[in-house]
Amino acid sequence: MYLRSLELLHFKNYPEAVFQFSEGINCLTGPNGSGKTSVLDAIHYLSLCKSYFTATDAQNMMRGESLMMIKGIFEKSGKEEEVICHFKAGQKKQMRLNGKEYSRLADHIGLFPVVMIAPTDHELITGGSEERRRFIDRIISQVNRTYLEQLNGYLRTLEQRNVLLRNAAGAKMDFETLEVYNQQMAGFAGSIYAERKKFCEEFEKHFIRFYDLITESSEETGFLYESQLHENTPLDLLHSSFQKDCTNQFTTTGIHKDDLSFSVNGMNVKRYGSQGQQKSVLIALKLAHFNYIYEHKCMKPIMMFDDLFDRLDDARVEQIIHLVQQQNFGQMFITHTAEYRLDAILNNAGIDHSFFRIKNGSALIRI
Amino acid sequence: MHTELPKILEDVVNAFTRLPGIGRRTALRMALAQLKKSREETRLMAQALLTLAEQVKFCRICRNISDHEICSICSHPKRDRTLICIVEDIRDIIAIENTGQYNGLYHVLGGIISPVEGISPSHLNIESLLQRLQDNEATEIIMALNATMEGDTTVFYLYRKLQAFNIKISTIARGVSVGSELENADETTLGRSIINRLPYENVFKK
Ligand SMILES: [Zn+2]
Repeated sequence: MYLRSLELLHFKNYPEAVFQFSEGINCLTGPNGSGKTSVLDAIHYLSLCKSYFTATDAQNMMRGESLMMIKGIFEKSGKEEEVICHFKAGQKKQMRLNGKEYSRLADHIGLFPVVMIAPTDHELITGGSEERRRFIDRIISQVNRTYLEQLNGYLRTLEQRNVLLRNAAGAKMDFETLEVYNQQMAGFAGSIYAERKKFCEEFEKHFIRFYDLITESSEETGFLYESQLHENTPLDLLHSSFQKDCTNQFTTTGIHKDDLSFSVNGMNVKRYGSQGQQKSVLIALKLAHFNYIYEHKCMKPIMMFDDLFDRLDDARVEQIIHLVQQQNFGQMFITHTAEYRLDAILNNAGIDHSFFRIKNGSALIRI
Repeated sequence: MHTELPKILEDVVNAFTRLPGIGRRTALRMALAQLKKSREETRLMAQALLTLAEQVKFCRICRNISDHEICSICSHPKRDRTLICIVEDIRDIIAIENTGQYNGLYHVLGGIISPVEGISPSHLNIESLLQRLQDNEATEIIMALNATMEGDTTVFYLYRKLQAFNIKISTIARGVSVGSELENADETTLGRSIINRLPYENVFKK
């Protein structure tokens, strides 16, 4: 699967633009703010119906305009597939596949998978645990539809239980209703935990393999799924934290506290890792993401590296480029400010690539 | 709508926007439409609303909105009194009656449990249901609540309460919409899911 062409209308700083991409490596270069990352984000829209970077669609519309459109022609198993994302101010966003509008956006997700690596992803390593839960939840829900339903059920029940605890402060606790929520949550938590555990066991292997490849096995890395459910059944956990929950007026235990921890040579990367180690862990996670989707959906996601050189030296970048080439990754997009640096590395590696020079919302191509 | 409305119109628009699904634009359209009607017509409408608020009666048995002490379903001699179907509100009764597949009685809860929206079990007609079962010939309770997480919570809560009674508990197939999701409810599917109702199984207990 690859993206053959992309058309933008009033998207960020692009009034109108058309791109014809190659099946291999596509490099987008230009000064900061020229619109390189916007191209990657447009591709993200076509895959996941939303921006990778902003919370609302309106933020991505060109200033002063009231309509934006992203159109992509993919080639998938020898067939041409047209995906259109259409957004008009004040209206519901529309996604269309080959002219047919989706009634549920969720039905589109997973058909044209992408994996993005951006400088803001650093949060995945250094940020709070919710970043890491979101990371695994997104991957699992791309291959398992019911997972997302279970997760939403759990989060809604959690919200209800928390309000119940808050309402009981200073008043009488409604034990009967609380126990109903306990059991309901335990049901959801049990299946979510089982899925996450299964996922992490498999994902860990991919992750370690890629970390070894990136660092040429110079360091030993570890991947750990942390959950209070390792030692407790979900229901026991809720029962035993009852007093604490009452005091805090919210649910203090459960799968909404799950986390991942990464280590290099036995040291926690979040706390003690160097910038380079943290970036290598991040890239290994993303490459493992790629591989996981590939194995489960028999389709290579489109890889997008936004500012690949961020926090990496040239040698490491070269190493990564070699790696993705050898491992036979599919279509790839790389953005960078310095064209000559990227060009030199790709030429050194003898890798074919197309260049797009981006200048203020317009593209000049050079092959 | 950024322009300020004359106060006399603003008050009506504000009142209408308190209704579910009515935004300011629609509220204004409604107010202007009402202005075109005769004064008598508007008076009748206002009177109907006032009468509803002041004189609404709930059936003493099933808690459905009713003109009389006991509603037309509960007082009907041909209804099967061994069956009680639990619903959220009158819309569900209308939807189920429309299927023509159910001949038992109902019990209207008046909502579903949702602390987030300030609804706890004590706000619902649960005590009256338990009372009703004390001295009643019912042998089966059918849960016909929407397949939302809150619907599941409520069904499970009732299931636990009903353990004290020697009574069969069944449920319509999950995923079938009832009346409060009327626009999605499909009569044939709903009718079939009442006939082919399933014994309630506690899905949470593991
Ligand atoms: Zn009645």
